[in-house]
Amino acid sequence: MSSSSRASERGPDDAPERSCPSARCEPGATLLGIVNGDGTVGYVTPPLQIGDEFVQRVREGRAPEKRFRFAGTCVEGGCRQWTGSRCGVIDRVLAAGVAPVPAGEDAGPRASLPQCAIRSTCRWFAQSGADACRVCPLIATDLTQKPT
Amino acid sequence: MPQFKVVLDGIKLSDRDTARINNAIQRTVLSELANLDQGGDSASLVLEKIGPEIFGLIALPIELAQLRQQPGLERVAELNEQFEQSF
Repeated sequence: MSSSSRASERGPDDAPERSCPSARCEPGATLLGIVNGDGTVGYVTPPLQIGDEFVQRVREGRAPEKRFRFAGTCVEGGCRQWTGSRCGVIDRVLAAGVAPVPAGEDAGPRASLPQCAIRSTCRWFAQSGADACRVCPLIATDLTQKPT
Repeated sequence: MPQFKVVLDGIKLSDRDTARINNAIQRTVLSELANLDQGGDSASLVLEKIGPEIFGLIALPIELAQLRQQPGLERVAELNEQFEQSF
């Protein structure tokens, strides 16, 4: 869902560059979270940018996208999930009516959100606000090739 | 919430040394995190397939949702079947 930067294509009046919270594991990406044993994602702060060394090491095990979540630059029209004006992934997840991760009893409206390192630039947050944050821990990225 | 923090209070470091130590800590943390595999994806329900180039899947953990008696699972299952049939 994210790879090369399109920053060089931007003009001064363009919208700010957004982050894709479900990017591939590749050098330059940010380690956003770790998939827990129950399938939810726990978040890593402060943001850790991964390099060749991490990518090489993590690929020694099972597919890294099954075990971690990565963030990268949202490439908008360069991604199949771009609908022309927004990311279709979070829209589809929210439209599916999936209930969010329950908040703690004493949590305020924002206190219940995950401690995420990319919220200020996140594409999903920019589109859907806190609703996106509440279902984000339920989303895992799996790049398994479809059997042919 | 596990936290690993190093505070060097009262120690004057040059920007270069600070950056060097910071980079070393981040490399070490990433190196250890790279070994983690909690197997959480095995509890997932395929919701959506993405693209012939990326072969991405967006998955939702059905077991967790069931445990928490979350609504909307039937709708997710329907979507899942629709996506499966579309490929």
